[in-house]
Amino acid sequence: MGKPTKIEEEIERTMQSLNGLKKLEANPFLFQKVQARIEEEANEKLPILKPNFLAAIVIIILLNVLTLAYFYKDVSSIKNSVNNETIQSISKEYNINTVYNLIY
Amino acid sequence: MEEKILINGLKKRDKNSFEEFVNLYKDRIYNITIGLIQNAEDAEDLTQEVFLEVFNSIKDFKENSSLNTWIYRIAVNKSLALIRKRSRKKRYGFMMSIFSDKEELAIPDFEHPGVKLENKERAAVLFKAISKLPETQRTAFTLSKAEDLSYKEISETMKISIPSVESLLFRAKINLKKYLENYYKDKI
Repeated sequence: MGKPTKIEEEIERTMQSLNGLKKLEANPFLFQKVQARIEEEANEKLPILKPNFLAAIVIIILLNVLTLAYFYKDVSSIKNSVNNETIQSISKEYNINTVYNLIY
Repeated sequence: MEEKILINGLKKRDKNSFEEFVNLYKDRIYNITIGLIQNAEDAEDLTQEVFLEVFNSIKDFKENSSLNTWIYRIAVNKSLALIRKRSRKKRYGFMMSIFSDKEELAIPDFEHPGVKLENKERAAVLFKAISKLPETQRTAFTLSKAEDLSYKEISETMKISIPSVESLLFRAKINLKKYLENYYKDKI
């Protein structure tokens, strides 16, 4: 085997350049920084306290209440008209118009 | 503090246990992340994220491996995720530079703070070469150099066999030498 060339020498020296690499020290306040991030994340996990979330819930409840109220009103008016019609037809059949007029 | 007691304390979210754990591992994790991602600022952020991940997922730690192995794995996975994200950004930046007049920003050479003064320049060239290695070779080589992990520890962290670690390190060295040969051919 011949003498290593200049390039081979350079390559070898570069490959050895990380020998004796000093161990670095992390930030001494790392624990405090991590703790702060944990607390930040914990606060973000309570979406129910966010105004936007609350507003959305209120709107949904309102819509449901309005829908129910509208539905109830419709049903009531149908019920009433059926009742009136039924009473009228019965009264006609049995000729009791006077009594019906008196009551209603 | 014994590992078992420490794990129990972590699972109970005991602050003292967590503080001890962070202080015990922070230097090791920092050295791994800075070696892999080659940026001191990002390494500091990533080290914090590793401990956040530990805090959030310790309840899922099944103790099939040691605490060392588990946290090294988290550090390696997060580092590789950041490297991949950077590669995507770089490709995007390159594509944009084709269509615009702006020049693509060159990424400066990495100077590892732990390198001896007389080796700084050579080490920067070597780190550049390391950044060109395939992920697995890069990981194995960095774990070996940055943290002096044994083949056994590297194999447990990377979930591969010891012969695979030997093979990765062997191929990494060959590839590094190829890169350096091309580099020095132009210089000498």
